[in-house]
Amino acid sequence: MLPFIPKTAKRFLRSPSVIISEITAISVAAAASTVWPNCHFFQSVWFAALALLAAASLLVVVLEQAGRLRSQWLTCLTPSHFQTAPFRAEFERPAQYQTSDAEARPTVRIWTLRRLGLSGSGVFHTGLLLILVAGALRALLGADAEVDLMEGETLQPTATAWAAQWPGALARPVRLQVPVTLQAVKAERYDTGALRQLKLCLLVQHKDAIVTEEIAVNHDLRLGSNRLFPSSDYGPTALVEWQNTGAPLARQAALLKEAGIGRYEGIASGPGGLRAHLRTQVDSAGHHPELIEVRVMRDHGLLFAGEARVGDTLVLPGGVKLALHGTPFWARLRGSRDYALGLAYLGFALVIAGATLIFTVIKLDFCVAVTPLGDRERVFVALKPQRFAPLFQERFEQLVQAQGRRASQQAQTSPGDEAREEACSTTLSTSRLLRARLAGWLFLLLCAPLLTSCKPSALDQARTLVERYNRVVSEAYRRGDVKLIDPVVGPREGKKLTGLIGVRLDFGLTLDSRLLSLEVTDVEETKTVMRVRTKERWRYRDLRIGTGEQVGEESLDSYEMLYMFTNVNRAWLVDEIRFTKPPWVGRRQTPWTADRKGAPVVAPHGTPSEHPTP
Amino acid sequence: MTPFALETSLHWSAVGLYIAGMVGFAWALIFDHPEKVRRTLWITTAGLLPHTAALLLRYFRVDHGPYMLKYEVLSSNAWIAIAMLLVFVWRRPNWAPIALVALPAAILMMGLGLFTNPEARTLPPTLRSIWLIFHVVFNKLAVGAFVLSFAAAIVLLRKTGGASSRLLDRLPGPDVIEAYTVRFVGFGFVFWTTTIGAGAIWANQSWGRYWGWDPIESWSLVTWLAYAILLHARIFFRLKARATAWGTIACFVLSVLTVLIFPFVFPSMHSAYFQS
Repeated sequence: MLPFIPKTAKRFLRSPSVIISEITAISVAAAASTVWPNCHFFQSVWFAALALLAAASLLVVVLEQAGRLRSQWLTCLTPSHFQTAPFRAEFERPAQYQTSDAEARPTVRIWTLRRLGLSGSGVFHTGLLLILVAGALRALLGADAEVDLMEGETLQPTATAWAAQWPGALARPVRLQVPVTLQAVKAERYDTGALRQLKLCLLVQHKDAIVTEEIAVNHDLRLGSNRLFPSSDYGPTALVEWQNTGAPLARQAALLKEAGIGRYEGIASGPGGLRAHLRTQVDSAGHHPELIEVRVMRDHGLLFAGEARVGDTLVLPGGVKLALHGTPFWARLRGSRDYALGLAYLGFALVIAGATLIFTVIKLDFCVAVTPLGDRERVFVALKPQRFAPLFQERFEQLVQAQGRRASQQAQTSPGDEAREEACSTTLSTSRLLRARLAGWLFLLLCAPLLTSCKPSALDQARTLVERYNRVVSEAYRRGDVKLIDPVVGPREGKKLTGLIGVRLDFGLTLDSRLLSLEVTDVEETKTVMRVRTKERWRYRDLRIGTGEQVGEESLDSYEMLYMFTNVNRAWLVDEIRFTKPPWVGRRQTPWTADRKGAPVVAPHGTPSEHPTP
Repeated sequence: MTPFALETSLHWSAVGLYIAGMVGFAWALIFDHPEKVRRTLWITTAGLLPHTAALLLRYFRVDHGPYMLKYEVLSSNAWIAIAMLLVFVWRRPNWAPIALVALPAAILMMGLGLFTNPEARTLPPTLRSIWLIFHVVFNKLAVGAFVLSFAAAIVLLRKTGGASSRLLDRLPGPDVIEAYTVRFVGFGFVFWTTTIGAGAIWANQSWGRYWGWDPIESWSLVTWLAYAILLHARIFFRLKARATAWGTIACFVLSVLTVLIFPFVFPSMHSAYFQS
């Protein structure tokens, strides 16, 4: 077999050291890829070479095992086969049948049970080889694609109809054979509002008929060589139209994405740098939302905050109008093509079947030879298991007992040596080299948790948390939208911020802030509480709602702060913020207290400054 | 009593009975009362009843199997490990000493689970697949088999390390213990293989590919390959019993890391399901 491969190459490919090295190298690559995910080990040439080498080894091993299986299966066993049997016993017993001397001849009975066990290793390695081949075919000829479709929208049978394509190295992109229209999106939700199931109704426009098909998460649709299936991503679409005097209508479909259970948010960009921040809630029955919260901003100024129903037209400051025409659902549709999927599944099935055969179906060879000795007879009993010999002691004793003698008296057992599986083509004794190798593997295994336990330092984590908090709260101030702060604050700080943002809105203002510098000076962390001390510099300006114009003077402030985070369900939330030193506030008067004589300057974090700016 | 309070009471009752069983095993084996092994087996088996009831109660309350939270995963893994241990020791009573290793490991697993967040979570659409059932069930069976292989490896190390006691003398010879150790590893390997296979089919359904080198997929493969290295090395290099035992222990540690630690360490498509 494989005459084109030289014998030395075959010997190399099936040598234990090479096979163990291949498995170890693949393990190390897989482990390393999780520690350094950006290194793209699996797209590298050396990994391809490693996979090729492993496939070649598997091929040689499979062919060799197939040949050995054939010869073992067809071999007619003789008593000499049992000379190396781990269980042997020889004893005399009274003759079972009275026969004349002329008829007295030795009888030998040899039989085999569970012969199927011989095929385990071959089936297992064939399965592995098929999986490797299927994986290679998938990488070369497979393709994946993705598109977001709205209800009523049609996916045309072209490659460009998809928003993104990931074809294999030799593959053409995914292209459906017929147009497919997304007719309806049906979402089932739990009582808590969390998504339970997502179903998509599709109209498949065959040449002769239009067929309605339903697909769902984990339930795909086969169209020719392609499969179509949805991901769990879906949401309402805001169909908006920007109407600006003297300018053409600008229509836009803003896909709102999940930002909490049942809550969806998105952005529609309009003319002249306008941006509409949209938010809506989908009820547990999955109805199309009728109402959408709208906040229109230009640069960092809030021009409009309100709600729009389907069919409404909002008139924005400056004469621009924003019309909401509908809220159909969108859903993410994926397509994939894998010619070798069946091969991969067959491989999985063979691997499982092979492993099961190896460990549960053990071939057993039995021999009972009886030699007549007048009125007595000599009995030779032997049992040769394919593997796990020591586990068959009881079985052997039963066999010997059945032949008329207790095995323990005369059994010559040496389990453990010969029973060390048939498969080893080359064997080495446990040498120093092996011990060194084992030590190396153990060292690798022990190092892995150390490598993977590398966590960001407390300072880095604290900085990330503070930056995230400030980013979210700044945006909430900018948009005058208190709902944005929910993911980062606890109830106490949330209440305070709600009040502060609300006060500004009452005055018709929003706050545009920019963090100029942040230094984390100290972190104290327990399991549930983290205290972070910082030095911060900020630039603030108040903007009037409706025009976005700056009100009052800009302020450059410096603070020394203490953030108190609490761990709630594995998320760090800001429970309270304090100034550790009186803030250094740049401006002398806040615009929204300008009409209140003698009112103190208030820093944005809500604590009155004891010492207004020097 | 609220369903959760009942569930907690049942869980702790099971822990109590398991601890009683462990003490019973220790008493019977250390003070040489082999006749008490059978009685202790009954006590430990009795622990499975409230444990089973707690898991069933949880199942009916949250409407999904024990695979969303550490609380559920660890408790059900412990259930499987103890059930497999009991089946084995009922059939082979002279193997009772491995209960002294396997039972504490299972109790520890269960205890760790009971101190994690038990707040019920709903099943996202991607997890609603028959393949998830196979994936999870075989994973638990694999964990159970690996726990037994680990226990057998510890006993093998003691036995081959020159230690002698009435406890160890009761066990079969090192060659038999080694064969059982490898057989447990083999069963675990088969179950782990099925876990990966079922997971791959499910991943193809949900994510469009059967293998994507996601960190948890990768570590499950590394674990599988580590066991493959052990099994091959044992055949190729005729490993001695102690080397086999150490290899088994190293692989077991890796499997524990893969099942219980790495989903919480590496950002992964899988970890979203286990973060609570």
